[in-house]
Amino acid sequence: MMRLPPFTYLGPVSAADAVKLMADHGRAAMLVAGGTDLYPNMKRRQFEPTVLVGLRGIRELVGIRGAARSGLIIGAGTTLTATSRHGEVAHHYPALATAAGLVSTPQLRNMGTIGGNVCVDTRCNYYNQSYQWRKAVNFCMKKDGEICLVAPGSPRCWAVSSSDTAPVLWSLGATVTLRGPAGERVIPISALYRDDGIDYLAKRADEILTEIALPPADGLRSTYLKLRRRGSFDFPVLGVAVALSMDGDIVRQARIVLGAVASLPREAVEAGRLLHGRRLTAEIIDEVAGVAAKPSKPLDNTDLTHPYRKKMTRVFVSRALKRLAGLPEEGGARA
Amino acid sequence: MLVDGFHPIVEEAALHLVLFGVLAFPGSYAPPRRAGKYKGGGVGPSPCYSYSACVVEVDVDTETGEVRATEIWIAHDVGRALNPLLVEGQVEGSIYMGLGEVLMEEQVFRKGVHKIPSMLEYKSPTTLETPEIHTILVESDDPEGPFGAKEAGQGPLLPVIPAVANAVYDAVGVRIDEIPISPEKVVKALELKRHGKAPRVGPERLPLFTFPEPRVIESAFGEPAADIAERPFAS
Repeated sequence: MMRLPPFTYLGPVSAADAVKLMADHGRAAMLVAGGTDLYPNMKRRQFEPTVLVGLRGIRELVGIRGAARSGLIIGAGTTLTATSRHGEVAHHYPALATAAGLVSTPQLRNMGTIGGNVCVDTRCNYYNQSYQWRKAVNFCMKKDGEICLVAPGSPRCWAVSSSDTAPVLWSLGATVTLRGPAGERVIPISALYRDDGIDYLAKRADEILTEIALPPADGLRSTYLKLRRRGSFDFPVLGVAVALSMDGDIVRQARIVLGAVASLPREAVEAGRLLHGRRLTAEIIDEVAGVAAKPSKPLDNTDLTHPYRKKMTRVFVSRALKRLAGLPEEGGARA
Repeated sequence: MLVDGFHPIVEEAALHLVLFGVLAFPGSYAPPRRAGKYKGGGVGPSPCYSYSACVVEVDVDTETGEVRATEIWIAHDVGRALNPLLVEGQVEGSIYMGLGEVLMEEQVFRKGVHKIPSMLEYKSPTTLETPEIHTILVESDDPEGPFGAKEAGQGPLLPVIPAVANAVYDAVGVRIDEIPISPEKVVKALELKRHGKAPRVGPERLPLFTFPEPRVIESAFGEPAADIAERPFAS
C-alpha cells in the first residue's frame, strides 16, 4: 500500500492569508483544494512538499455568481459537482456542465474543484506510476530522471494535458484571476497554459487561481465530447470542446479546442476560422473536421493507441459540430 | 414456540446460533485421484464437466469502433445449485470477468515492466459497463459432484468471449480474432472491409513453436488411455 509522506497542513481562511503562507514557505509548499489529483501523486512521490496550504476553508473561493446575460464568475474552489449542476451553467454553457460532470467519479467530483481541474497535473503513463515502477525504467525527466521516455531524443517533456474543463473554458473564451504577492492579474485561460509537460502552467507557484470568468452567453452554443476507454471514470485521451456564437443559423465566431492530445489544450484555429460566416451543413462540417484534426498530435503515452486518438479527433469534431447543428450523428450498429 | 411440533425456521436458526455459534453444516468432499504424476496431471481428475451457453447483444459504433454489451443471457449447467443466489452471483461475476477480458484487459510490457500496472490504467468494466445479465441455472443432480453440484467458478466466463466476438461480426461484419476487441482493432477491420479486403484483425500466423510429441499416460480410473481418449495428434 502506498502511503502519504509526512507533511504539515495549513488551513488559511482567506485568499490573502493563503498567498502569504505560500510566500512564507516558498518551494517547500504546495496548494491543495480537493486533493483528488495531488494526494495520489504524493503517494507515488511525484510531489514531495513538506507544507500543504489547503484552500478548502476559504469561503470567498466557493460559489458561482452573475448571470449568463452579463457573464458568470465561478469561484475556483467550487466543486465539479456544483459546477455541473448549476442551472445557469447547465442551461447557457452546457459544454462546461458536461465536462465538469464527466471528470472521474461522483465521489471525486464532490471533492475535486474546478480550479483543481483547470490546474490538474499533466499525465503520462511513464510518469503516473509508483516510485518502484519509475525506478525500474530509470525515471523520466518530469520526476527524478534525465530524459523523456516517450520521445528519448526530445529535450522536453511530453506529458499530456488531461483536464476536461480546460479545453471547454478555452473554447468559451474564459479568463482566470491569479492572486499572488504582487497583487492580482487577469489573463485569458489560453495564456494560462504552456507547451511543456513539466512547466505546463503560466501560473507562478506562489499565485493562487481564485476565479474563472465566463463571457456573456449571448447566442452561444457549446458542447464537449470526451474519448476514454470506459464511460464510468477515466481521464480523457481526447477531448473536443466546441463553442459557436451564432447569428441565426450563421456562425459568427467559432472556437474548437482539443484536449489530451498535447501538453496543453490545443486550439484548432484554422478550423474555427473556416466556420466564420458559414451555415452548419454536413459538407462544411466534414471539411472543418478534417482541418481540425491537423493540430492533434498525440504520442504513445496514454491509454488507447495514439494513431487511433488522432483518427478519432476528426470523428469527434464532426460529431460535436453535428450535435450543435442538430444534424444526425452516424455510427450506431446493433446485434 | 412450537408450531405443529416444529420450530419456525427463523427461531430454529436463532436457536442453532445460540447453541453452536455458527449456522453451518460440516461436510467434506475429495475429488478422484490425479491421473498421473506429470505436469498438468492435476487438471484431469474433474469428476464432472459443466457446460454453458451465452447470448450477447452489442452496440458497435462504426466510426469509433467502440463496442458496448447491452444485454447478456447466460445458461450454465451447475449440477445442483446448493445456494442458488450465490451461484447466480458466481455466474454474473464470470460474465463481468469475460467482458473485461474480451473488451479491455491486456498484458502489455514495455522496457521490461508492465505498461499499465494499476487499477486505473488496467481497465476492467465497472457496474456502469456491465449490462443487464439474465442468468439461467440449468440444474441436474450430478452423481459425482458434492451434494450433486458441479461448478460455477469460472466456467461461465468461457462462452462470453466468443459470444461478444460473434456479436461484433453479426453487427458490423468484421472478425476480431484476438482479445481484447479494442476500438482501434474494430476501426481497422472496418477500414479493411471498406477497401474490399478481408475484414479481419488478429494473429497473421501460428506462433513459431514446435509442440513436443504427446506423452500418453494410463488413466487413474483403471482404463487404458487408448480406450478413453481420442488422440488427434497421434500419427
